[in-house]
Amino acid sequence: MAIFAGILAPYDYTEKNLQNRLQPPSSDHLFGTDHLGRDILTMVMYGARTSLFVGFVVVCISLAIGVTLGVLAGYYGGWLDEIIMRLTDSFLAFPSMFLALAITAFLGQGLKNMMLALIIVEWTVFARIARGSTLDVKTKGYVRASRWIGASNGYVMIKHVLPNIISPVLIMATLGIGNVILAAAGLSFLGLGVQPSTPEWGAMLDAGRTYVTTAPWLMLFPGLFIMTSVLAFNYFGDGLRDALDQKMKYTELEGRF
Amino acid sequence: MLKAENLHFVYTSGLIKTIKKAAVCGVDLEIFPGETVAIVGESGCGKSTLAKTLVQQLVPASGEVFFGGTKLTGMSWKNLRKFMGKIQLIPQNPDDVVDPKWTVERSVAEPFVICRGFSKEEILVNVDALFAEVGLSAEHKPRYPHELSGGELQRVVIARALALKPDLLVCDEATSMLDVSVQAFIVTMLKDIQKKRGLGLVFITHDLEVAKAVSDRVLVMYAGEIVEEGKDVFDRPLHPYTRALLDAVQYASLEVVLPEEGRALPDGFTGCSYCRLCRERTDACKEPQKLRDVSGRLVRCWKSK
Repeated sequence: MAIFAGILAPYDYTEKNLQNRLQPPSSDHLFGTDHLGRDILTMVMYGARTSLFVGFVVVCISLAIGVTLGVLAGYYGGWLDEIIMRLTDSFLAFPSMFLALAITAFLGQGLKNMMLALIIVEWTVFARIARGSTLDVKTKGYVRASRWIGASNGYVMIKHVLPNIISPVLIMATLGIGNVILAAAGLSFLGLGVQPSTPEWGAMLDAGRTYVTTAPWLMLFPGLFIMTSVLAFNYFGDGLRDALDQKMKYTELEGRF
Repeated sequence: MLKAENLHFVYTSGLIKTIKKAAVCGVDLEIFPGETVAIVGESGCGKSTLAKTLVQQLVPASGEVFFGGTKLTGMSWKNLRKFMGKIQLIPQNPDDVVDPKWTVERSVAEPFVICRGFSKEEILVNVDALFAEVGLSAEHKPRYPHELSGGELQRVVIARALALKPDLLVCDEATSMLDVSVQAFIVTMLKDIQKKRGLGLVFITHDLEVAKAVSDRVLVMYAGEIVEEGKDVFDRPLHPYTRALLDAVQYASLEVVLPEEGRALPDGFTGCSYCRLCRERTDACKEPQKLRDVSGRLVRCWKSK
């Protein structure tokens, strides 16, 4: 839906029609119109683009940063581990929303700055998980065995450690997308995200706030979509876990519990 | 071929109060090409630690390991790489040694990939030959480790260890996890491979039957020391501990099964490490015991004649 918004959307999201403002849902405007007469359905569709884009990009970049640092910390241990993990801890010590707020407030409003703030908040989660799993995988015989036939540390990290830690990390990533969409909507709601003219679910919620008693559909539909997409990503994470675990398909216990 | 001199290994643990536990205390041994040596002893006597120190997976606290005249201990990782393929360790637990996310074919091919200098076709041919050598068929190749049985997996591990044409295989309890029929199969297979390739085998086991069946020479370990070494140790045990060990198999003798505390020796005690439990102990046992040559047998007991 996000991809085909341009084709599917019944109206142009910039199209303002002040005569049609605050229309309740009808056959012309399925989700109603907002205070500037824009079609909510169209805006929700375009908003999906922004939200999903923010979610994916933020999670991908923080995953790359977090996993690299986490694997390095876990694999080498020692002082490198100390440095990376104390850095992670210091980021984790702040409440994440507050930190994101502070960073966007410092960098200024805008989509890019908001994404940057979210990346700074998100990568720590991946670093923690990657490090923990690496510590576990590091002690496994196959890591020692391939070192013993002369493999370099880099080879072991890429070929053995990464494939074996990636499933918990990917599951966290799908959950993270939902998280980021929520956080992005939150920041936009507070007016720190996208420009007001760009459709974004959180910004739409903010715009609809003043009309909540007279025109509840302004907040209802973007809110509903935030909820369903976050829920969808959580279910996707669950499904991914089952799919990635090769062993689970073969266990006798499956289906009994 | 492989020679160890006065090998020591100490495990340390604890941060504030450091606890030291000597696992290998002054082991001398030599393994000749094409020979099968069994190292037996009870659990906790330092067999596995000795194996890991021999293959340089653990760095000994002191002492030297030589391989074909080259000193391996103290060698840098880069130089050591050249010898790695030549000495291979087959550990106890096969499903720990192969990556669960890799097909077993890829695991067996890995040594060739790491060593470089092999073309794709060469690797395929070599892997095929290795699978045939350990008696696995082509249908096993694309499988993942959890889709194989313990015996099949152990054969995969052996195939992998054989990939770089080793001169010495150290089998650390390689058959202990398997059931008896598979054990026999693996042991015969290893012996066949040894005959064909002429490699040295070190069999570390607590299973005296296996040790007796395969070995040309037996080393008996107790508390990190070799207490007896010879060819017909099981038929004619000289050291009191070896006798107790053989009795333990037959009569489940209490002495060997006794917990750790009962046998603890006072600090700084330099005498025979077995003298706490030994039935034949006298005051002379408090003197340090050396390995003595008793008609072709090395025994660490002053009494044996």
